[in-house]
Amino acid sequence: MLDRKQPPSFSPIQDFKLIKAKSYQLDNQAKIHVVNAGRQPVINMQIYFKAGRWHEHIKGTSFLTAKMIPEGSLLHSSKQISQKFDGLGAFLEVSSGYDLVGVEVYCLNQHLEKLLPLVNELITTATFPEVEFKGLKDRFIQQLSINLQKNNYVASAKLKETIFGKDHPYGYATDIELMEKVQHAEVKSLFDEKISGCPFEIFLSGQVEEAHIKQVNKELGKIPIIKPLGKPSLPEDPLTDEFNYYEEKPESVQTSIRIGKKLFPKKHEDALKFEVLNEVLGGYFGSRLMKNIREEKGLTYGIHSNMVFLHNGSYFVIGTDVKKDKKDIALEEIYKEINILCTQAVPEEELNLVKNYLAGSHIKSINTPFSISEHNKTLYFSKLPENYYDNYIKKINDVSAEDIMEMANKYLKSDLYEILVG
Amino acid sequence: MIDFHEFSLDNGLQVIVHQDKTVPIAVLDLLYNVGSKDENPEKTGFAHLFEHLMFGGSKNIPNYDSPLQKVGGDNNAFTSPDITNYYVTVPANNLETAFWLESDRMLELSFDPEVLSVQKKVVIEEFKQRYLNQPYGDVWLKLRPLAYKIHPYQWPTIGKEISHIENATMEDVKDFFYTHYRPNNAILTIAGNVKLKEVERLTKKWFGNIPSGKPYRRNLPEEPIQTTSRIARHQADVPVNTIYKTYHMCEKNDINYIPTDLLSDILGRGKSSRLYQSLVKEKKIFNGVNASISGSIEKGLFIISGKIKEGISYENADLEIQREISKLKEESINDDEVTKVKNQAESTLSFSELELLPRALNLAYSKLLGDTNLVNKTSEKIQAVTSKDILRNAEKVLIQENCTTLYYGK
Repeated sequence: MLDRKQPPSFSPIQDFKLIKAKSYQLDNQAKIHVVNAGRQPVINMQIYFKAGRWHEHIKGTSFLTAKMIPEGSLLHSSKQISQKFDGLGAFLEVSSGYDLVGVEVYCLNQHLEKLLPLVNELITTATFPEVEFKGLKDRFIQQLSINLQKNNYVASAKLKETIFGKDHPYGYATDIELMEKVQHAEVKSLFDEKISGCPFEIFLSGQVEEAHIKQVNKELGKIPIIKPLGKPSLPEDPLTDEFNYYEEKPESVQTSIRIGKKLFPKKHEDALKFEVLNEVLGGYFGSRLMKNIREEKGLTYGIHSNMVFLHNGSYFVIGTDVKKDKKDIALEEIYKEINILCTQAVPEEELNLVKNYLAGSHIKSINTPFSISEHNKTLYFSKLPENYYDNYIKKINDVSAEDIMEMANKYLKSDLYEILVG
Repeated sequence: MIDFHEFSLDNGLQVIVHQDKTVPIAVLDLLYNVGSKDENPEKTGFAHLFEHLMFGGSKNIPNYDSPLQKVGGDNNAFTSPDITNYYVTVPANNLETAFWLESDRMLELSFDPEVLSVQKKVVIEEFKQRYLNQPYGDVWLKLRPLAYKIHPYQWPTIGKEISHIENATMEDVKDFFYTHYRPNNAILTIAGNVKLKEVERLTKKWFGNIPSGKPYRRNLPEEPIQTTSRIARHQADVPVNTIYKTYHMCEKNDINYIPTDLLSDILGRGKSSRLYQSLVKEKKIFNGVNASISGSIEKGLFIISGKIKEGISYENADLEIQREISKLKEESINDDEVTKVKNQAESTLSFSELELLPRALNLAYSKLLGDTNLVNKTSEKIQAVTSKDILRNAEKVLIQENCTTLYYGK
């Protein structure tokens, strides 16, 4: 007779070696990091420039600069560019983040060669047609006006503004007034100063053969890199002592809550210990916050805590949307859970569960060539030791209940900013 | 090419196995052939509420999540108008834990009234968060009942209204469970670094003695053919006026399904599409415009939607969309355009097969549609489509009488 009350036996989860990207230099000294893996004949090529928000001279320009890159080049119109990519079933994405601007291509590997000349053209000779700029800016402002009606969008932006400061590149809030002011010439000048002719890095992953690397070198290795990168000056630390902010919206049926503070970089010695603490508190579906506020009290659809690591600053955030008339109870319970972590050791059984869960998530996160490349990218940009992921599970297992209590006291006990919208 | 083996148990459970030895993980996917279309019109949102209850403990296991998290596993589920799907990902050598958990909740739920009471609250907050408390969140709550007069696709999976969720009783829960959550109404897919013999052994061990249920006979009302165009206007506190146009189209198994999908790509997929180039870039009527299909198993919807530029009237924007449709029918479609959308569809397919979980889900879905090997035929079917096939569907689907239009905005 099958005993269904008895769980099947299970094996501990072992560390395994992450496939390491092979790094080469193109003829122009640009670095390329290659991951050859996977069974589908696809390739992802990412080209990164130091042109994100951190590198702007004028607020709001980086986003528009990135989005203008595919809107026209010396030899091709915006329409021709999208036709060329769409025609081959390829995808071109430009992203602008807090630190980097990325130009990304997804395609079948047989088509890479046909797309590379156009990619070269875009990152060296994008022409920024004024008419396209006007359309893009209009569309962006319209989308922004929609986002600004979402409580969770406003709350997240406000938290970053509070943590980093109104004038900090990570902190300033993108509002309509700010975006209206951005001029075509300012956006073009960011491209000229930080992208065209500037150093870049390439991450190439998928079924990548020697021939593909040669093709990349032939087209992108011939771009003259002539402009050294100036180091932007660090804005002053804008710490505010106003910890609580509430923007009430009478028509809202839910209130967005964000609670957070600044954090250390990913390579910091506390990072892994804090990662386990974060997981216990709000990092997964079985977390204490989720159990308390969703599963016991039914005040929300979800509550999570996260660590966000950027190149020049990082932060911790707890986020949720709760029933409006119960927001005070939700807040009280969040702080109660933090306080328990500061004063009581996490029981062994829960700690083991969380460690195994983290180990399992780690294994599951590295299953495609693209995700292998993402991990290599994190190693590279966060300046982590090369074997960081190879003994990750062991390092997680070494974290003790005392470590977690120490982390909670060191980082979560006080000075948390609290933002409410709705 | 996705390889697979199939077998079934005496209780009617159908099983698919897909081996991939290159990954250290395994996926267990359990698809129940029940969606919001199977709900009573007075008790909508129930299939989805039920999905929440599946995590509230089963006959022999008080908590579903913790034992899984303890072995490094993770899980989630979703409900659509057509199906309810549960999936678990685990390090491959801990696969049996997934069998243990998933089979026990098919055997019998805990039916704990406390779980029902809390999950009703959680789902009501989900209703508010996703449908009420954000701009445009309720578009499909308005649009579905306009497009479908009789068919249960007229309500979204979250339900018609919050009161339906509030009124759910334990009796409803039990009834739903024993009607739909039986092995003969489910498809189990195991994928990843697994051995076929071992999967067979585990399936028999854990699922073999679960009794089958009465066969469920789906008897949905057929949506009458739409004969006059419908138009509605909804005022909301939103910053941008939007337009939605839906047209009834064929079911998923129909020979015209892929050609109609490609038609939507020609009109409104990506920046090189006709609607985008003409109405966003050239004429500046919209700030964004898309065409897509709902992808449902039964007769679905072809959808065109757009965000209208400030200063342009609804009527004018609508007229411009119709003009593009007429142009397509009159001037035909050139070969480059057809090649383009085929290439897009092909590469989307390749990218979707990179990860294990979508492969498992596609296998299960194909099985539900009647032929597991459909997953391997899609590419061929895409390539076989001609511009004539696409045009024929444009002439049949994109006509005024078949259209429902919603103006949603300030």
